[in-house]
Amino acid sequence: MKVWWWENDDSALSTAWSTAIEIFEEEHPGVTVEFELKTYEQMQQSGQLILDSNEAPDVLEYLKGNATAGVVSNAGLLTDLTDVAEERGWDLDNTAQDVGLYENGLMGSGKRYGVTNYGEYVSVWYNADAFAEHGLDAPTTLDELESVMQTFVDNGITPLALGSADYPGPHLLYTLALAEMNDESLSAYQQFTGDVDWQAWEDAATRMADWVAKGYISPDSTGIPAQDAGNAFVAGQYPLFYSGTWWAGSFVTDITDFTYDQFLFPANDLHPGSGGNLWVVPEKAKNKDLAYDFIETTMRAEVQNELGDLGGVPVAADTDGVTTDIGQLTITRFNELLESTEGGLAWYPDWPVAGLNDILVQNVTDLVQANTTPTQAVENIKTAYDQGKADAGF
Amino acid sequence: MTQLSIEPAAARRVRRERPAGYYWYIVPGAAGFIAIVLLPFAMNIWYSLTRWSGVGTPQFIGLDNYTRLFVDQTFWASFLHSAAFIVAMAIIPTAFGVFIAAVLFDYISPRFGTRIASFLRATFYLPQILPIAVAGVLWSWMYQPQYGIINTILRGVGLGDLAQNWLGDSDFAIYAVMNVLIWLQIGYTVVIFMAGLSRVDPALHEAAELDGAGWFQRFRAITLNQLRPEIAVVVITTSVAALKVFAPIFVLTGGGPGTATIVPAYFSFTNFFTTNRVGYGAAIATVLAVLVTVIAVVLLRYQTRNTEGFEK
Repeated sequence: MKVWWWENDDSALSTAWSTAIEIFEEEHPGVTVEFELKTYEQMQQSGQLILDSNEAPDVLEYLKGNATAGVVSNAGLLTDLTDVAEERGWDLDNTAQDVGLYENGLMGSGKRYGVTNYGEYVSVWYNADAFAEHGLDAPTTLDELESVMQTFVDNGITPLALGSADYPGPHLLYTLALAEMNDESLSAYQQFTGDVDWQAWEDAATRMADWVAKGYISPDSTGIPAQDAGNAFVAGQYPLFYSGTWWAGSFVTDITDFTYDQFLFPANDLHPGSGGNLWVVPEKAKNKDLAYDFIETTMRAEVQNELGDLGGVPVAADTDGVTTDIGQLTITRFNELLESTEGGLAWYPDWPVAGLNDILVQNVTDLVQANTTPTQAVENIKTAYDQGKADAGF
Repeated sequence: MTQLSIEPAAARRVRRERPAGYYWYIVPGAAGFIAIVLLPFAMNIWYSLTRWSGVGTPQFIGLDNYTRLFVDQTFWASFLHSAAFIVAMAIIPTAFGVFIAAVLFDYISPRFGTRIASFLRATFYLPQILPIAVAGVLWSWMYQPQYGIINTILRGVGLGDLAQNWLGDSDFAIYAVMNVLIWLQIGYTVVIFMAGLSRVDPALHEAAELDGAGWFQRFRAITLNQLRPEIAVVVITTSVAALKVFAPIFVLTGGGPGTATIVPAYFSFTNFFTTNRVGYGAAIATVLAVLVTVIAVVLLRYQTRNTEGFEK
């Protein structure tokens, strides 16, 4: 049986999935798992060509979203798992699993084409020692957050590590927009159910430009990718870092000389985050039953608990079985977001249409550099959004 | 005395058969060209007339992609950047390359020995053999605004005001990328020009020296003149490479910040693989291919008329 994923060898997911392979091989004597490590870029750029070929694996990690799994499910390249999930009694009854549902290529409802093992959300990581040193507490409102950042600026410290040459810039802009959005306007943006609240985006862009002007964000951030921003936080150069739970595992290992913690973006009901990427079974897979068995194996408590202990955010862990502090923190918070009746996980800003991430990054970098006005930046994003929506036939 | 003669009919047959016989030699190359270049290009043109996400059935939309393309600001910006990269990949490396090759050949080699000259030539050529991904990562580190070696040195010698956000500032990014391209290309031009210089008759230089010509006069009158075929070839190949440049942009800036360094090949690529607008990406690729072909043909014709580097 052929299995592909792109997670790095030292990541929580890769470790847990390797355990899943061991269990699977033990329980399937005579079946050899042929594992191939791919890269995220390979799957993003040529995934659909692979799925359309006879070389497709039996089960693979694939990108969630309208522009990726949505496109290939709509083209009939993925196996419909709706009945399989029912027959096998898979417990997929939480909203993290919505990323595996697609209808006419649109994510969030419809038939099941994928299953996710993990979740993720974006929050503010902070250097608790630096906060204590300046007599600061974790903020609970946007005003308090700005006051915290101002305190650092007054002490000659740029507070927010931001890699705006990469996804963290759009994530910050999106969360500032989410501050003014509700479930209805979120649905309008992500699922085309109504008019998008572009005013919320413009207010967010205005605030972000203001943060640059006040020194909360360095204009140099436009030359800094996400990894560099994370490294700078780890090195203690910035007290705040707004990014996702995918950093948790490396923070556990790498941050040794200060205490760190996280808080959700103050006063927001909605936060960027979702179920993770998907296990999918190509329509052309040759060993579908084995693929289903493998997906089942990855959802078992022992695999999920290992994922949780390593700082991943499992979706089917036995909470008592996760023993590490980081695992307890992220799982508890993720479950709160999942069960939230108001707000919760707001997916990601680039999901609605293909290619939006590039446009978001372009306009955030221009915004941070003051090369464009907030109005113009949002106008550019809106134009790309509308164009992408029309291209996709919505 | 016996006179050998060929009958007119036989002679005609020989003349007729000879070209036909030679055509067979073209078949392998032509087959490869058709399979690898012509057929994909024809398919690309077809896709450029469709709306297609890369899977499913392409939908024919005529020239819509082209009409959309010609009002797309990013497309025109990408060609403007191409002009800058022609300067960085063709004009500057050619000018520097001729000069460096002449210095290595005329000055370093006679005074310090051919080994030193060869070593220096190899160091100039090193960027050419370094994988572009590696070179890109190296330069990204060097340009890093906070701890990159360039800004660290500037701050270290008291020139902190000159430290810049090299790849992250729209005003500087294109120059930072041009600098990398110059660094990449110089080795290629130096090697070609040194090879060219080795075929120049030393007697020309000796005669000029006897007439009292200095180094710079000889460089201008002999070296530059004798290197015209090589210069022409280098200008053509580097100009075409500049129009097609992709990898350095991919690894250094991804076309950013904003669209400050986007080029046609990268713009085409993003449409193919990230926006799923395969038809639109194909239209960009078609326009780029036509433009590169036209420029290459014009340069070749100009070069053929003005040098002895090619068969006329």
